[in-house]
Amino acid sequence: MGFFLETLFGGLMAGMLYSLIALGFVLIYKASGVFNFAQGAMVLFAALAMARFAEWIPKWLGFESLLLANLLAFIVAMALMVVLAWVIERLCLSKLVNQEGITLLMATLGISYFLDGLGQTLFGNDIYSINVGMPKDPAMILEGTFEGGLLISKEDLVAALISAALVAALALFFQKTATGRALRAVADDHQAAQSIGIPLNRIWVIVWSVAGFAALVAGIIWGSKLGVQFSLSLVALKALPVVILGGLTSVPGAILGGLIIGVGEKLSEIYLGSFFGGGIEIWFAYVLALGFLLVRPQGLFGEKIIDRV
Amino acid sequence: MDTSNLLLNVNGIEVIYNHVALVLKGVSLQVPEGRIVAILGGNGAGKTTTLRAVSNLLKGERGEVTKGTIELKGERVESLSPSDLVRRGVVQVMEGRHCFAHLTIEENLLAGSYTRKDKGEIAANLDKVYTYFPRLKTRRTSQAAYTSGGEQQMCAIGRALMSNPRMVLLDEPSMGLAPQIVEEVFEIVKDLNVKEKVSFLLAEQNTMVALRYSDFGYIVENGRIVMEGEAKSLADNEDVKEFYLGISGEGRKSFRDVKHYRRRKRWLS
Repeated sequence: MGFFLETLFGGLMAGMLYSLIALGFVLIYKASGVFNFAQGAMVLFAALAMARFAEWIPKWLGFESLLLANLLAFIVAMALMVVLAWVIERLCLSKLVNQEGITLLMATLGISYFLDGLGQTLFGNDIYSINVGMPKDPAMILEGTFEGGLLISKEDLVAALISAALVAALALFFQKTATGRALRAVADDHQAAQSIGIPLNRIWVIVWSVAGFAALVAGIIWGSKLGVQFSLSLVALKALPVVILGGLTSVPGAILGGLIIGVGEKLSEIYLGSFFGGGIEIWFAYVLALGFLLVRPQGLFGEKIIDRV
Repeated sequence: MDTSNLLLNVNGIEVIYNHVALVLKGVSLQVPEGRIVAILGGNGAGKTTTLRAVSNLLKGERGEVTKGTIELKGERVESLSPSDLVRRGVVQVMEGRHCFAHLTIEENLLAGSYTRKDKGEIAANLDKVYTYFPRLKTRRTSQAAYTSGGEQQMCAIGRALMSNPRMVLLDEPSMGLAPQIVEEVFEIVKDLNVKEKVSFLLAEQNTMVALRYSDFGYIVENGRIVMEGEAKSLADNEDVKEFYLGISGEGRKSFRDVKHYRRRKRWLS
């Protein structure tokens, strides 16, 4: 029992981390109807900026404080993501108003390659570390209930809490604020939104900035776990089954999808893995997503595809 | 037409799509303050393009005003963004309704008030829309995609009203609606015009209804204005009767009379 729970918790926390990345996809899709292939590249870019600025800023300004360095680096990296959002809107999205979804998708694919290159050109292509003071040692809990207790990674726990807070904030933003409503309106119908005076260019800058923020948080958490390197942009691939499962348009869906994938992966590896000769953690999520596409293509909480005839 | 109190003055505009397709070939029209003006004509005549030129929504369709001027109260507006125009009080209701499918009716309406920041004003506008469209109030919590065509059209008009416009560009409000609903929608339009002093520029294929509710009409064909006049005199005009209302001098024609001589469209040669 103790072992099962330990696996479960591990899965839940890994799942939270997946949802954090999935969130970026959902944000942009929800607000502009574009599937943003560049989300992974944005995570890498943001993490690189964070790691490097945290290293450079104390050198430039000549101080030692880790907290201050991280804080400044976070602000600078966030500013960079906003500038990036603005540039993307200016050079790319504004030229593609009212184009097919597939055209926009291809554009984000292009952005993704460009960002991968740009990030490594600006910030170097070594492996860097982000140290934001995440607790590294695991904790034992419930030692009285189970023999030997449960081993919980404190780092994952903190990360899961951060993502939960972020998600709650974003869900509120989308449902309750006028800007959030405008974002959802733009996702439904670009042109109609434009016709009632919602300025598309500003909305896009906002949404890409918010997605940039999500990418930065994801980048920091994943970066402090795995180190900042090119492979960070590939964790985005893990977010694909998450958004398929949860629904591309639902913030809570991204969370639940992430949890299901996280738990499913870990449990299947432990309990089913031996039948397949192990290693199913790597592909389990994709198979699950594939099955979901057959049964419920809009995902668990995605907006139903409404067709009037 | 009384030209002393012009709200909108479109002067000889030419619109080109994709740098090649010349769609409007010098269209001029005027909308006086507080009136309903109709643009009539068949498919592809240039009605929608004219409205889009005014509301500056052409860019998304790769269209461009290449000649002529558009003035709102004497101020040139061709280079303003759609959102600036909404702020100045000109808002378009697009053809085919275009409600935000996944938002509720109320959210749709509130989205229409994006350019208004004053909370009290927004609440007052919402109340106003609900008094003019009581049907919307009963459907306020349903997603727009699940409401009927008539309700969606009302939602689209109501959404436009949420920006407190002086002028609404209404594109084919009758499209796809049952005749009874069309009357209902037009009654409300007239009401808004009389009570709220909103001016309307309306593009319609349903000539009969449009002429009954408007003050002035323009008939477009092939990107040109071919006829204009008071709505009443247009409705009495023999050419209009024959080509747009489907009735000729001798009353309704039977299709059994194999050979009938159509009047020539004099303006075509």
